This record gives sequence, structure tokens and C-alpha cells, in this order.
Amino acid sequence: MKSSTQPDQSITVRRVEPYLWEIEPQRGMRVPGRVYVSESMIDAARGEGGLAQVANVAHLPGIVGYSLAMPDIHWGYGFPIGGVAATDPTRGGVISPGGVGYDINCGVRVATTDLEAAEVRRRIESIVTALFRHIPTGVGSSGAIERISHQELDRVLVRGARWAVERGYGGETDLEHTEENGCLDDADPAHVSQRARERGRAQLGTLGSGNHFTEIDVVEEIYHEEAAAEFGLRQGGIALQIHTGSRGFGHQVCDDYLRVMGRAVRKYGLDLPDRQLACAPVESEEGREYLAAMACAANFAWANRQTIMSLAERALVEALGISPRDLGLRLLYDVCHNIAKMETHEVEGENRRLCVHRKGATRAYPPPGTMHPWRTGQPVLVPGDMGTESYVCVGQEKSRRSTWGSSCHGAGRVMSRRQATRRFRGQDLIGQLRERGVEIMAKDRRTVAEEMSDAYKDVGQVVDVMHQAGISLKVARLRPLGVIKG
Amino acid sequence: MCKHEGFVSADHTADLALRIWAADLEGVYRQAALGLGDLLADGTEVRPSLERAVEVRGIDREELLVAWLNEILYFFESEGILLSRIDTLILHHEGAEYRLEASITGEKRDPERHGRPAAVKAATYHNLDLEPDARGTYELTIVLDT
Repeated sequence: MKSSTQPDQSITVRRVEPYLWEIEPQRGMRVPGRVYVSESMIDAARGEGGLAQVANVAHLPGIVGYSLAMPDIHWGYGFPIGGVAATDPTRGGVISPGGVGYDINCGVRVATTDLEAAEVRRRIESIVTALFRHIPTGVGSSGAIERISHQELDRVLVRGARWAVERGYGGETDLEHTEENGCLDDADPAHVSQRARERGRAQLGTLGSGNHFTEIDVVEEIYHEEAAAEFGLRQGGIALQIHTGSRGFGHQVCDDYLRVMGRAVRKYGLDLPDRQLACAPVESEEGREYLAAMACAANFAWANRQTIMSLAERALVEALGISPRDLGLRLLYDVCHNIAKMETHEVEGENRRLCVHRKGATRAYPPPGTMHPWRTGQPVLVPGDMGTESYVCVGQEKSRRSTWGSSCHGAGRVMSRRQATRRFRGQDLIGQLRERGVEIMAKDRRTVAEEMSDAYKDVGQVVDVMHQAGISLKVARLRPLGVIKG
Repeated sequence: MCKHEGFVSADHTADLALRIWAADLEGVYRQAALGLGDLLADGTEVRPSLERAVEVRGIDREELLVAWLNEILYFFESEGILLSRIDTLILHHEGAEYRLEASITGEKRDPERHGRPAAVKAATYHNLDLEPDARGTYELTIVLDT
């Protein structure tokens, strides 16, 4: 079976709401496609192949409702980035590793502090230096945590963020402020390869590279007073933001199971338009094993973000010469961007347990929270382009009804890394960013060129679409003062 | 002089790609690995100080290629090994299974001499098609997730 997603000019879309476009079922689509974008974005989505992929995902056996895409829709492997799709296991619904992605539980967390912008700006160089020293970064980097034993790794894979808390990284309250309390219960290390384990053992407590980062941000604008007050966000306040995932462990689990699913597709006689949609019924041996391994990777990522937050706390305490209490670091929330979860949703008047894939999409649950502790709704964290802006938003009831409780996750690239490197060759980007008020420390200057915001879509536009569509509302805009990158 | 097999890294918006050409199938696997190795070594010279034997299997050529490249990546991630040369590479097709046996040489990455490794997560199946063209030669693009 060939893997083919060519930009398809024959995909017809019609606008059903100001920010919602529908793809009518054509060829083998089992359900319509629905894409949340503004009018100015729809042509780009078609041209670079995202719409064709939304249509492809609609072929998945057991898919319910719509094949969805959020406004950061962007070409990916099998599923588009920004893709959301739910399948019903009791009706032959499948689980597809491509609907989660290679970086399982790539996600982000934001923590507020009691710091003032002025003092942080004054000391930003030493803050960034301290962060860079405490948090290992870079490709294949090995960790602040000694290469752990296999038994210890098993505990990480099963306990997730709680493992880190038990080792003294952060506290119990952090877990309530993490999606799934930082642990998926059906994790089973027995379904994880030796390969993945080796990669994981070496990389726990590392940030990684590419678009992963740790940032010190200033809260620049408040849009939603009530939610901001509940979240502890105030204008001029200082926050910590961490974006990273399951590192080589997750990449390996994805690769291992793409192979398993490639065989499963033949075994179960599944007819798919794209090899990278390879999948198996949720209620099959292959499906269950992938979910158990995926949960291990998700837990690894949560343990990682919990650990890195604690390392960042130590860095800040050291750089500022203050106590942890005076720093007042408090986790606002931690969300996944790449995950598949069993969730209960209302379908045609009845509650059904569905397998929801979110690939480059964020859960965005409304109030009242049973799955989160917030009265105003679940925080939706949307990291932006390096050196520009990020957003905190809040989930609304409309997301539950329309997108299986999902919203956008960030912005996609518009320029390849090589193009970006060429575009910015010879320029003192670090100097330029410093002039704009952003202090950056990167393992390699070329990463800075590759990650310049010009290489990305406009995250403000993405967040605006979700706001206008009523899926998630903007709460605050954050601007970086200091960034560390791998 | 025109080489009958080779690689060049290519543009791909969100990721990295390798354009590979070869006169035969073994050449495709050779150049794909050398191309990935070049990205991991950032184009810097790698000395042939240590050897590794590799064996991978697949249900078709595409799966075999992905498995082979991810094996090269695994050596780098787990042991820091960069690729210098591919000494031998043999493809087998027995019944329903494809198998690749190779011996490679390389060295552990030295931050003093070797450049920044490309942040490759995995080789993907995207548009992968290992069929020869009308002349019986191969030319394809491999997309690497970064």
C-alpha cells in the first residue's frame, strides 16, 4: 500500500459557519470533514494538503461525527496536524498511531509566579543562564537525572508525573493541575520495546530541541477578567512556560507501532487511502497494546515536564537569590497536544465511550470541571512562535458539542528549516531578539534561525478563530522575556 | 563525473527530506543511510573507528527502508554513534519477508569535531515508493520527521 497525500484541488468545501467549513463525504469518506479556519486561511489549508488529509481521516473505520481540524491545520503524517477524530470501539472503531504523532504527549505547561516584570527584566541574563545550566537541552541530550535503572523506568512509565513528585520534583497539588493528573492508568511497560526503553532511560529530564523550549514570560494583556483572576494571571505578572514531550521514548513507541499497525491493516482487511493512517480496532490485541504503550510514553512526558518545572524552579531561586516561597511558582495547568484518550461524549442523545485522537490539538473542557479543578473552564495553553507570543485560553461548552472538547495547540511552520537557515544566514538573530526584549540561549545558533517566528504561521490568528467560533475564549497573552532552546 | 548513486538533503516545510538516487535497490538503502548519517554528523567528517553489524526485516521494501534508517538513528541516540561508511549491504527477499544485513563503521560523536546533529525523530513512510523507473534505476524522496 502506498502512502500518498497530494494536495487535492478537487476537495470541495462549503462554509457552514463564519469560521467553520465542511467537506462533504466523497469517495470512501464515512463522515464529513469539518475544518475551523477563517476565510483567509482556507486556500492555504487546501494548497498544502491539510484538507486532503482531513478527508483521508474520514475513511477510518468506526469514525463518529466528523473528521475535524483546528485552525492550526497543517500537513502531517496520515492525520493532519490540528486533526481531531473520535472512533467508537463498539462499532469497529480504530486507534491510529498517526493520529497521535511521533512525539506522544508533546505538551505544554504554564506556571504563575509572584515575580514582577521589572525585577525579571533587570536580571534576565542571569535567569536565562541559570535555566540553561539546570535544564539539559539539545538533540539526544542526556539528563539531569542519572541514567535510571530499568525498574525505575518502569515506575516512571506507570506513575507519570507522580513519579517525579515522589522524587521531590514539585508537589502533590501539581498533579491536580495536570491533564489526567499526569498519569494514564492503562500504561503497561510490557508492551514497550527494549529500544524505546534505552532511549527513555537516557533522556528523562531533558528538554530536547526543535520547537521545544522553556520560557520566562510576562503577561501582556488580559482578555477574560474572570478566568484570568481564577488562573492567577495578572497584567505584568511573570509566568514560566515549558514545551516538551516524550523525547526519543515516544518517537520509538510510535515507530514500533506503525510497524505493528502496518501488519494489522492486512490482518483485519482494512482499506485505507494513506499508509500512515495504519490502525487496528481499539478492541484488538494490537489496539490495546498500542494504547498501553502510548500511555507509557504519555506518562514519560508528564514525568519529564514535572521534573523540568522543578529544575526551572531551582534555577530561578538561584538566579534571583530568593526562597521558593517568595518565588511562588504555582502550576496553572499542563495539557497534551498529541494523544489519544478514551473519553465519554454525547452522541445522538446518548453517552458513548469514544477513542478521541488529538494530533496537534488540545483538550478544551468547559466548566464545571470534573476532569479539571477550574470553575471558569479548563485552561487551554497555546505556545506561540519563538520570541513572539503565547496564549492562555479557556474551554467552552461549544467545544464539547462541536469538537469532542478540543481546541488548537499552536502554529505550524510555513518555511522549512533549511529555508529559514538561509533566510537568516549571517544575521545576529540573538542580538536582534535581545533588542526586541527577548533574551535567548540556545544550544546551537542554527536552531534559533530555524525557529524564527517568520518561519511559522501567526498563532494570534489561530487562537482568534477558536475564540470567534466559541470553542475556547482568549484569557491572556504572554510575551517571552527569556527563552532557552536545544 | 556523474555518480550513479547519491543523496542530497531537500526542503520540506515542517521536516527534513533526503533525495536519493541509485542504479539498484542496494544503492538506495546505502545512500539513504549515508544521507541520514550526513544530517546527524552535520556534514562533518566521521572516522571509521568502530564497527556494527545490522540486521532488519520488513514486510515490504518500504517498511524495510524505514526500519533500516531508524536503526541508524537508534545507534546515534543510544550510543552516540555517527556513520562513516557502509562496508557491506545485502538485501534478501524470502517469501513474505524482506531482510537487510549490513556492516557499518563509524565513531562516537565528538562535540569538538562534529557539528550540530539534525533533530530527526524518525524516518517516515510518506510517499515512499521503491519501484524502479522505466530505466530500471531508482529516485525517491524520504521524509524525516523532525
